[in-house]
Amino acid sequence: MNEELDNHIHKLRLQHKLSQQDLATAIGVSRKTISTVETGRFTPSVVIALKIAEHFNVPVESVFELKKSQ
Amino acid sequence: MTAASITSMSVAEKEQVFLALNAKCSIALSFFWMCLGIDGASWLSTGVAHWIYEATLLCSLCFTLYYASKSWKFKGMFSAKAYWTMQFSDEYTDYVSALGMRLAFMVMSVGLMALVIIGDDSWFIELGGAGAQLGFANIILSLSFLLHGVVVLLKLYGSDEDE
Repeated sequence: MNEELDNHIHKLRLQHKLSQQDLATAIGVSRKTISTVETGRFTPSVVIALKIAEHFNVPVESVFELKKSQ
Repeated sequence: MTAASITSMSVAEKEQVFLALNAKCSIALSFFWMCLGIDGASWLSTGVAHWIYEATLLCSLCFTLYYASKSWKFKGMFSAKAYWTMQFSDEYTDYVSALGMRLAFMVMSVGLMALVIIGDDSWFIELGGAGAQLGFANIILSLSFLLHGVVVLLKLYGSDEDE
């Protein structure tokens, strides 16, 4: 059984009315980094995960979670 | 691209544009090495093929110099370590840069190993003539530069889900 990293960045961005570019500028990364993390094509470091969680003022577990897949 | 427009970018954007310019420079260089690799081939001596060869060689050299001069403008715009070692602070840009270099290294190492093993064989020298080894080395260089450039551009500007 494999585990995949799932995230709720898109949902959080919509709640806060933020574009990918806004979030990228706020945490100091490129929009492409946010885009690829959001779509699950790139797994970010703990530093970026913590920065995103801190920006939305939620625990990191609310942004990222491990999803079991077969 | 002016110095003012580069200055107005964030560090992450600067690094991404710089990597894309290097990738374009890599692709232009790959055509240059390919031309050197096939230089001397008998079919190149005919009229049309010769003109295409000469035009490709000239264009690849011009594009290489053009992209190299554009990427030179980014010197001092972000850390010297990122500029010279391609180790970027933006995580995705760094991942793409490392992936491109890893694939280019694989092509180069496998190709050079093959050259070391078969380079002295008589059939190989008969097939490629006197400059067979140098020509093959140029083609390996060309393929590794091409792979680096294409992979980086595809990863940076490929399918994207915006906003």
